[in-house]
Amino acid sequence: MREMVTTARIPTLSPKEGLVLELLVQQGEMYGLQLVSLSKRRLKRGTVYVTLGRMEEKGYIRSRLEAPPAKIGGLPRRLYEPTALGRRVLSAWTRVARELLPEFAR
Amino acid sequence: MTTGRRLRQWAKRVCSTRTMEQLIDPIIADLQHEYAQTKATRQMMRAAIVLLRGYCAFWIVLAVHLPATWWHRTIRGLRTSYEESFDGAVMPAVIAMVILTVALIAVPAQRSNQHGFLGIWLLVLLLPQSIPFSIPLSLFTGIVCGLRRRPVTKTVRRTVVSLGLAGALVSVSTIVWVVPVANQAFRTAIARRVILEGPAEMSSRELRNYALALRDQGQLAKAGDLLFSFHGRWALAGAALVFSVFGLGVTALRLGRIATVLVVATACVVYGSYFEELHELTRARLSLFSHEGVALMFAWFPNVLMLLTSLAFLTKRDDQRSTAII
Repeated sequence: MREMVTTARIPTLSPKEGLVLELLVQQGEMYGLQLVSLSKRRLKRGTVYVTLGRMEEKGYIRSRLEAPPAKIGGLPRRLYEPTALGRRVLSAWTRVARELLPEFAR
Repeated sequence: MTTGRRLRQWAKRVCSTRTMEQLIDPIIADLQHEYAQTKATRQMMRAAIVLLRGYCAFWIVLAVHLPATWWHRTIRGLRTSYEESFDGAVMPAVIAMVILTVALIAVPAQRSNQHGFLGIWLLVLLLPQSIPFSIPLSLFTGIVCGLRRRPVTKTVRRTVVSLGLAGALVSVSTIVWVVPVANQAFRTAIARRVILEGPAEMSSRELRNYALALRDQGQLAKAGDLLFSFHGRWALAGAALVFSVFGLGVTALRLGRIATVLVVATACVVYGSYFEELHELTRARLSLFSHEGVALMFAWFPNVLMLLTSLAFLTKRDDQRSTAII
């Protein structure tokens, strides 16, 4: 008989997700294009929202819509900020990376 | 008109609400803001570049990341929820069915071959013929075995229908472009001389035109036979989707192991022998199929029957579940 095993899912963090979390933790609430410009070309316009969407599903960040712009018209921008889980995952990954990879700490 | 409004309207038709909220709307909002700000500084060249970059980002998301998101949410979600048993069942089924159908096609070819054992190259040429049969049968077997006694959720339905559609596309391309060429190459290699194309080596359009020409000449039996073959090809191409949905229907019944094996084997054998048996039964009345509607109806009959049966299975299961909840 096959044994039923339930395992808790370990949170994972890709390099891009790590970079986004780092920027959000350092700078606070930001929208997508700000992240792209602050990342020094490591994040791209075409990919940043896919990464942000995935991170939101994982619960690392949360988003809200800013107030609709009065003068410009059009859609309101989406602002992102890290959640408590996101901060914990980032600090855990940073710590693990420092311990396992000595060159990371240099 | 606000920048990107038309793009957004178009994207709304093809994307889900979630994708719109998470991907499309933020891109368009950024585009609108950046463009408006740059335009306000009267830097028209820079504003045009901003617009171009925004549009590029939009199309990159649609072209590259939507398939990735779809993959992530459906296939990987399915694999995660079913402990990869789905993959584990589909892949062996695909391999087994390809080997089986190649063997079924290769054995009669080997028997009729006067020049010794078929080489590897000739077996490779037989492979395309087996694909339109092996795809639906392997998808069906894989789906039924992989999802056995598990709930047919919305994700499962969406994934299975997507798999069926992908299978149908592969079947269509194989039937239309690959099979006629491979068949002709096989015959030429066996005969060791250049020979004229037969009906099985004709493209779909050539086959239909030839059948209609024969019908006009009054050769109704042969025309009927060819018209039935023509519609049979398309029915076979659609079988991948039909068998996938049928697999869902059988899964929804939550049968036991033996019953599942029996259903799978019966469906495969009945479908596999339908065209051959029907041809034998109607040998004396092949002229019936010279009416295109009749040929179409008989060729698609098993597909329609299976589709209706699957819907009945799925509906029946839904009814039972709602009764249980009440």
